Amino acid sequence: MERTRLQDLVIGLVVLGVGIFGIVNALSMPEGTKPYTLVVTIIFTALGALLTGRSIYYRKTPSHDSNVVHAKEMLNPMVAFLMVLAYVLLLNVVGFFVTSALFMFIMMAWMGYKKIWVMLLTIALMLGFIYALFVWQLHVMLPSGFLF
Amino acid sequence: MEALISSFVNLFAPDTLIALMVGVCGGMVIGALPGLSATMGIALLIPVTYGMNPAAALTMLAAIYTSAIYGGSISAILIHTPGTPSSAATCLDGYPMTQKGEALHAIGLSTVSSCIGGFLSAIALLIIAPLLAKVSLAFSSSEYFLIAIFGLTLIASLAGKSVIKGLIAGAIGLMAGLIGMSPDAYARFTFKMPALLGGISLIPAMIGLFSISQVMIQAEERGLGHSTVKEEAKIQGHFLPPLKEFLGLLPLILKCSVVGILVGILPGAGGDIASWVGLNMAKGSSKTPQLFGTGHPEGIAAPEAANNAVTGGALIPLLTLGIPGSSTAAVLLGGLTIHGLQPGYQLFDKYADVTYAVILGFLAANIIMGLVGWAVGRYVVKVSKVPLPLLIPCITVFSILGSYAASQNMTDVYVAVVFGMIGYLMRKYGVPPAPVVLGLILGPMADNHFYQASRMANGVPLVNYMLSRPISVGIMVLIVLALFAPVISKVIAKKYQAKFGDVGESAEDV
Repeated sequence: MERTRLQDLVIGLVVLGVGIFGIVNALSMPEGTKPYTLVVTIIFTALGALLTGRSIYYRKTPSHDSNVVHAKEMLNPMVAFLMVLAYVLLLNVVGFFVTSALFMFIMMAWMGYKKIWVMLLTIALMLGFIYALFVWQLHVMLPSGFLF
Repeated sequence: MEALISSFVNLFAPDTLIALMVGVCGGMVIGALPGLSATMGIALLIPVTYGMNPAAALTMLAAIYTSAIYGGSISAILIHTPGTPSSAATCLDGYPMTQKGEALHAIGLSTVSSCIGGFLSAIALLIIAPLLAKVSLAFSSSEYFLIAIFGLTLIASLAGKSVIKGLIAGAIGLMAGLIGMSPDAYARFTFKMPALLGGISLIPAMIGLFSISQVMIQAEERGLGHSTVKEEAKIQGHFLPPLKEFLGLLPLILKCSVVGILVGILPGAGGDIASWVGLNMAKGSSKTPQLFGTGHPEGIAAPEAANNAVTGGALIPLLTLGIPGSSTAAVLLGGLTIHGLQPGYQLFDKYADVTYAVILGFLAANIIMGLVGWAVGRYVVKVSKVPLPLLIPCITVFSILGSYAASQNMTDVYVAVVFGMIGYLMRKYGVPPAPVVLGLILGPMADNHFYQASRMANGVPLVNYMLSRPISVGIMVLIVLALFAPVISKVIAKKYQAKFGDVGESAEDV
């Protein structure tokens, strides 16, 4: 099977699976909720089936609407995602400003920037602006933890 | 006449003029910053206006509204992150223009189109507000449900290369819109998590889909030293579009402005819907539809004219009937209330001097917005020259902050992160993320109005009930036309190609 078709097959099967799960759940919903929910989940399932069927039928020719994706090119994005996830999870533990400063510094360094004074200045200006606008002016309660 | 004279006096009072300038400049900043939307900005600033006189306060809020919609296009164009939901459509051609080194040109197009759209909507508000508001009184749930369906049919035209994947994206948005409490108070797909009872909020989902996914995509450039703009293409050129280009775009801008005004009048339909309708209209009438998505001027002018034209349109039913024409207008209703002003006839009678001052201030705000955009645009464009390693973490922090600030709820932040991953995977595997936004906006609207229309049908089959309503029948005709127009035009194109050349498309390019 051609690589792009395999990718589309996986997407199609995931969509089909989620759609079937949705339909099974919708069938047990009360009458006021069921009709619209069923329509949406059936449409979703049908689209998953269509993509799956298309991938299998044209399995030997490349797809015109997909690019080949290699695992290697997803490594850096996944690391970035994990950094964002860690940042978000620590917000309520450490506090918004300290966590954000750490996150920004680490991410800037990881992305390859080397001028530390520019990094620190950027972080200071960014967090200063956020404090002035959100905390001081708009009185938004930002996530807090054991630090600031 | 007396009211108009009094309103001019109110408008040119020092505090009103200062409020107007603060509103225009502040609105642009609010709109340009990813995650800080017009709705959020106005909601957070209403308490600040409590000590101001009503004309100044409401003028500032209205100025923020229109300028924030325009400001959202700046970040959409420069860093592929829509500052507001209304600017998502502008990303599609705005960012490619930046990548070609035409950021100044793109912002100029956006400024001119937004200025014209906003100005025309202000004229509509001033002259025909009471007349237009009467039409919307005839709409009920049946019509709103069908309008949501009509909006969903636009997904096929926004699908890009693959209609199937575009429809899947739209369906992902519809599925996400199912999460939470149903119209008859059933907890749907919440998996017993109280945090999901409120459903998936649009702004965090949008921030995740466009902004956080963009952070992940930019992470692929790690270590390669690329800027957001091609190194060999300097940011240069003219801010204002050449006269020939402007005259060529003017009919489209005017058409989209009218559409935006009409969409704005419809309660619940805001700049986000208008911008997609405008973009769809531009693609349908363009001589070069294949250029959309590559940095086409029409792809910026159409949504920007439409989304700014919504602002005045949304104020028409708000001021005359107390029915907000958009979510931002709904928040503005709070601004009216806090100053002791009730929407309705008395706004144009007893408080006419305040109302007309606000309307004239809104008209002036659209002109000042254009001038400020012209003056500042060429400097704002320098944001695109900031090195990626500095820009990406700042965008991330502001996106997380923007997701949190609207309801001060960490659940929204987690939603943004999850949708960030979803958006990244979608973009890598060729599934366009834009239709997800349409599904998220229109799904709940269709759901609520479907439920209400079913109740209003009172035992009569819903289709029969809708067919008994002339406006519903008219919208159904539009839906059928929208559904079959792409198919019919493809058939005609194939016949034309068969007659004059080879047929290039394969049957499975669906």
